[in-house]
Amino acid sequence: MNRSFIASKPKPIFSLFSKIWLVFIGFTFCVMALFNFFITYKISTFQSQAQKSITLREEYRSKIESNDIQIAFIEHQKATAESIYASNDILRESIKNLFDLVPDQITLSRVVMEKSALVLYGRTPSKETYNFLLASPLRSIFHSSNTVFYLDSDGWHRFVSTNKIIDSEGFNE
Amino acid sequence: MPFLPQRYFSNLFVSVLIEDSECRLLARVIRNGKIKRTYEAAFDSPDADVLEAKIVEYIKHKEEECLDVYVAYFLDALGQGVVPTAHAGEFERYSVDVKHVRQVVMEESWSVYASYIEIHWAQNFFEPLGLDLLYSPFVLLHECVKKEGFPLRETLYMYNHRDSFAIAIYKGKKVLFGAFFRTVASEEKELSDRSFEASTWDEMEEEKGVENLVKLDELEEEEDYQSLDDLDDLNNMDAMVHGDERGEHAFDEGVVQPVDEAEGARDSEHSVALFGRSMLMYKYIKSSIEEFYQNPNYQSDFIEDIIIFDNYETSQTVFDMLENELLVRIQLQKVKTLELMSAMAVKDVGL
Repeated sequence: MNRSFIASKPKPIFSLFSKIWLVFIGFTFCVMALFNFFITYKISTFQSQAQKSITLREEYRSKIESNDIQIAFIEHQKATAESIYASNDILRESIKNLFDLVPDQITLSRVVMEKSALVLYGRTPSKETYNFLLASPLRSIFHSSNTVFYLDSDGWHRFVSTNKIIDSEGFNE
Repeated sequence: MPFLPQRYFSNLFVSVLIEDSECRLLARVIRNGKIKRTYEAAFDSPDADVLEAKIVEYIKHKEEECLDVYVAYFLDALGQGVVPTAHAGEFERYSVDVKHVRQVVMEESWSVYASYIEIHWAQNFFEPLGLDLLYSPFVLLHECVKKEGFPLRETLYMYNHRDSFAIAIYKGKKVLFGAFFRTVASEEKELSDRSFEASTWDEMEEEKGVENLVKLDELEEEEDYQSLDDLDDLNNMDAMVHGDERGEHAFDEGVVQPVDEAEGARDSEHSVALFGRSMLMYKYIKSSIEEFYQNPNYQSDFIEDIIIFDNYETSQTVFDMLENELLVRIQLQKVKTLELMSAMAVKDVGL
């Protein structure tokens, strides 16, 4: 029951000015909290992204390593292939040289090429023909050259020429 | 009662009473229902329309250590009264225009009212501080009667102040009749000084219930002063005066009144004034009781007791005259309006 002609209620603890300040501080706090959440969210996003990137980098590194191994292997293969091609080229050249070396009068029936030896089987009209036309160049190439003749039924001579080279490295040449 | 955090802070409750160009203050610092400090002060307040700057400054200074200040004022203006009904619709019967008064229902059976003009005047007067509570003397009287215990038979209660007094005839909790009077002649001057607009004045004039009674009393007042002038031996009045001045407080920042005349002369003057006032009071009470007996609007019965709650001082002359003329028993009880208002303010604000 109010017994006064003017009704008075307890006055607010905070004045209007204080209320404005409190609202402002509250608003600022909310904005800062929001910003904080935003920053935290961004940090966690960046961290997860960084983690992903680290994983990805590790994957790439392992891939790079395997690729390096493959590359090394392929290079080795390439080198091997190249050396084989080179050897083959040299061999082809040697064979070609050899066949160029063999005169028309002499017919080769079989050629056995070993690592440090060349065995030629064939027919020659005569021993002299062989000795003049083929034995001399063979002797100049190989360190030792032995030839065995045996007469064929038609008067030609079959021969087996065994040529050896001491240093195998120079064989291909 | 709802939880109010303000309760746990110090709040300053200031009760203000302005009488005879003197403003008396009772300021209490109250925290959690307990009185922490009490200040009393009195200031000269010669201007009836403006609250003195030093009063405002004093209260502002006291307020500094508190959370809030609540100002309660004792309304001693003529534009107030009592009607023995709680229903606003029945105000017309007692010549009160309900549109222009604010009503406070008491005990759900009767009402105290005050004119909006007076309420606005009080609010404007306390504008530098802000007025929170405005108490009618009838409300304070009711508080005293409540403490005393409601009477079973018709009893006239009086709330006496230096410049004014209020009377109310109680039967049980119900007030059958009430009237408010001023005992200083300056009232008319004060009213004319108050700068209201013409329309506001018109509204005031409509409160015929109060005005008629006042006019009647003012006529009688003039007669009383005439009779006073004829008195020859003023010194004899001392014997008739009840010289109890215990009601006066020792104020901490009071303004000392200049003493220009001899002590004896001052006493005589005071006694004469008191006697004049007593005569006036007697006339008012007598006319009120006659009005109560004669007006068919009031359920009247013979009054045997008068209880005076006195905040000032009452002359033995009045006692004798009332007892002899009206055949009543008189009791006098001293009250302190400022303390009463302060206690009521704390309760009404809810702290």
